[in-house]
Amino acid sequence: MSMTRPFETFSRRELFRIAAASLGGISCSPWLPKLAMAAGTKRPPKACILLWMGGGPSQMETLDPKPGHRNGGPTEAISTAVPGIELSHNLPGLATQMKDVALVRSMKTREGDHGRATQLMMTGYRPMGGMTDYPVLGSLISHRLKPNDSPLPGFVSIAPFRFGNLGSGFLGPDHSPLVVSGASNDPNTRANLTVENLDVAGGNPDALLERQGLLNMLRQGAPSSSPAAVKHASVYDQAMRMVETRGEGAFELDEEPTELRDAYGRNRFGQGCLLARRLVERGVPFVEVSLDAAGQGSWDSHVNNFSAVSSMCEVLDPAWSTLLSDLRDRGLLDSTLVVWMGEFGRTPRINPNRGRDHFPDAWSVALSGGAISGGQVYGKTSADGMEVSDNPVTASDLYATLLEGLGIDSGGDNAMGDRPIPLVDEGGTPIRELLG
Amino acid sequence: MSKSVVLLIFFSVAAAWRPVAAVADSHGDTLSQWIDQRGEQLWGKPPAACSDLTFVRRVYLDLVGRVPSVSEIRDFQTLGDDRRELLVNELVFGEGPRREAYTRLSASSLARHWRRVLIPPGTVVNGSVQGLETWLEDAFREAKPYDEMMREIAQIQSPDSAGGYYRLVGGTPESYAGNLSRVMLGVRLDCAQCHDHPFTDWKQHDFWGLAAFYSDINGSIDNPDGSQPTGKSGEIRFEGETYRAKVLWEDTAMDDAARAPRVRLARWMTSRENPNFAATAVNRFWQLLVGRGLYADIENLDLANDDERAFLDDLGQKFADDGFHVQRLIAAICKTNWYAARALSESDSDETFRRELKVISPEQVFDSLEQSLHLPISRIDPAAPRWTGARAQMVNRLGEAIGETPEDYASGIPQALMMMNGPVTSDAIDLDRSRLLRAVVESPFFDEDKRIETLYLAVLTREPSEAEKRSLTEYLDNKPDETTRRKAFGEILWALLNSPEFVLCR
Repeated sequence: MSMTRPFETFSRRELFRIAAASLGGISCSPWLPKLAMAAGTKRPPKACILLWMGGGPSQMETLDPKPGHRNGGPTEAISTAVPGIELSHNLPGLATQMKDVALVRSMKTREGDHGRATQLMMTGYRPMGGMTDYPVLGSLISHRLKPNDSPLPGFVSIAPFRFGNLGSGFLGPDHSPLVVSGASNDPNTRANLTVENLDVAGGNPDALLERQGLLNMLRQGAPSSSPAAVKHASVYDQAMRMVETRGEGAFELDEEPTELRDAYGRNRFGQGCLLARRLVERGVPFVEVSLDAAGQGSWDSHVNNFSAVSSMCEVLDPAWSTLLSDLRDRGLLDSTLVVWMGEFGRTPRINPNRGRDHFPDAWSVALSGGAISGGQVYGKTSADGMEVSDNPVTASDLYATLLEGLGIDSGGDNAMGDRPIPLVDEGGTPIRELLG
Repeated sequence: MSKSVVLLIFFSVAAAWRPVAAVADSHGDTLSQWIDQRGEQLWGKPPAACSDLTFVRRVYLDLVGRVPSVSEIRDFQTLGDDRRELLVNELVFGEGPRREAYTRLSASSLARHWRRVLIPPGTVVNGSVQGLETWLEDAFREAKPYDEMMREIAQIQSPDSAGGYYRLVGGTPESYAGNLSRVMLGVRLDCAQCHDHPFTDWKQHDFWGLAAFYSDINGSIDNPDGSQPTGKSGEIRFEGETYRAKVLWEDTAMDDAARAPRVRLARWMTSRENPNFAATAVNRFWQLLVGRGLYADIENLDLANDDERAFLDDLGQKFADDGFHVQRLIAAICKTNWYAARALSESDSDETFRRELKVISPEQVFDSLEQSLHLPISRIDPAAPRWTGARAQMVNRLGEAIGETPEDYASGIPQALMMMNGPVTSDAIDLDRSRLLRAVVESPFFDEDKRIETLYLAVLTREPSEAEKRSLTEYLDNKPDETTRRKAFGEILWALLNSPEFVLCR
């Protein structure tokens, strides 16, 4: 593409020049795989993948089975790769990965309402009227670990489903999630995992370079030292690089071997976990993948808990276990913390609808990767599952542990104006046993 | 003729209620001069005035919530020497031929601003805010005095009163108390909910004393860790302590706190003797219009220095003397040299006057696009983007990222992607679908300079600079044929819509 003379005076960004010079222009597809490969060879910094189980999964049908007790219902326990640790029969794949998984079976929180509990587990702070708008975990991590030069955002949320409208809070929009929608479960296309508005308006990718030139010209018109104008320019430049590189090719899931895609599961959550790995490879420090409803199930299993959870696990188990092995195979597991949690657990007593209700008193989460030392169980519940009998863990303790697992000092502060806000709500202590 | 009758009625009513000032200063002109002088005492000489076109863009965005049309710009230019004052009167008081439209637009624009004051972005709300916005819109359209509006909010008798504000912000006495003190008095008490405030003088009994006024409103959510009613009005329990209704800056609870507590609170809250009420009000209106409050940290009024505080108190007193007449206060501010000042870049000192660019609200973005792009807006055209959900979609997406003050640009990548590639933009730059492009590119009366100029006026309310004209002419000249040349106008329009200037108010 030949540029007119005045356009050469525009200070176009380096990337455009490089793209134009080295690859003969900016027309899309041919050079994308190269870019993606280049992205893959960089060793990414630390990252976190949150597998968010909105609705509150039953601990007894997942990480803390109680076979032989009336409260345990029909759920059986299976042995795992670590002698002595058992999981529910719903998670055979995870059982093979147990050496890298640390179970926390003694979560003890105080919120039994979806909205309030989500706020607690997503921010680490107890919900309070007014006052401070706390950021969610993804924004916290993005703020700490986002690389300066990445064209990708620091926080990507795949097919989010949450109770309540939570976001980056006082950390601002630089750290709010880029949402990848997943409206359909169509297994054969990647159209179900796309970023909205990533296609160049007018359908002509060549227009991008001209538009950047025109925009640079117009930016001279706005008072350049105005913070709002400066911010606008930086956000737009980032967005343009996203469009230009199609998110560094992260969304091209069909570049992956068929067998690997099958292993993750040809569904929104499975492909979302694969996308999470591709994003982490390209330096995105936080990716959240939600599993809310698979087929007819839901984690909010007030009715028919056992069939609901087993149908959820059919989607969860292959995706989760493949994610762990895939990260390990690529040497990414030591730098990537994988967290599995919902907002609370379910009542040990089975209700008359063969369901389980909301239960914050004693429930489970699972951690792998990062600095977490796997192959262990922390904390314990009583034989009937009704209470924590050993080493209770609060949301603050868990947050402190997650941060330390990513190499972040959990005693630190977030600066909000002149006022320091602790990263972790008061009383949070990292669990040393879980950190290698 | 009918206008003078209306004005006459208006004056006699106003005169009956607010004897002197209202008649003497029916359009805020005297107050405006007073503000100019008072400002000079505090900040020195005002900076140079902005250009006419910048002024028009500013007042249209601030007062009716969208950019002016090209014909409104032309009309303004014919108004003569006092055109700025006349335009303010037209938009604020609905004077002139477009009275209906401007009155409606300015009421809804004010209602949106105030809805965000009452429920700041990021608040988790219970239900839809539309009822509250409608309540506010009615109040502004009726020119209800500000103190009266706020009294209605303070003395609610049910969670559904005053647009359901109580329920929206959480339905608990503590959340309401925190919000009222923030909104009306410019103090943040929330810290004192659990412990005495670490940085200011507020104590736990200040917070709960205020919450106690609302202890007998029904409709509270079930929250075992929150407040508990005691069964008596004007009294509340929290963590084993009982607190009785008490207003701020008083050491002791009210006598006989169970007797119509909220009516008494509302009267105290909005009275001229309240040290913060009027001062906070004028500071908020100043912030809405100028961008930064007269005292910038608008909800920590306790921390203002003596000079800043004195200006606010004096202006607040004038506002109260004028019967808390919102429209006159707004007109007065818009007619000052300070409002009309050119945008300045940030200076090192907090002591001097500053005017930064303001970021326009999500609704202003859409409504401006609608205006600039000649989108169909007829109320009976179901295909108009306003009614097909395009507006709601855009407002929601932009609404995910709103700054704390009008000067913060808080949009992120999803917002930028929507403006760059979203459906409204795609249609706007498509020669077959864009009304604006067709009007401009296909008009036989326009040469290319005129086309560029019209696009600039429609979108940015200014003319292109000489340098811009040169660049764009060369850009167009470099197009190999007529088709690509025509398409290039779409690219120019894309750039105008995505320039910082479009979403900022100069």
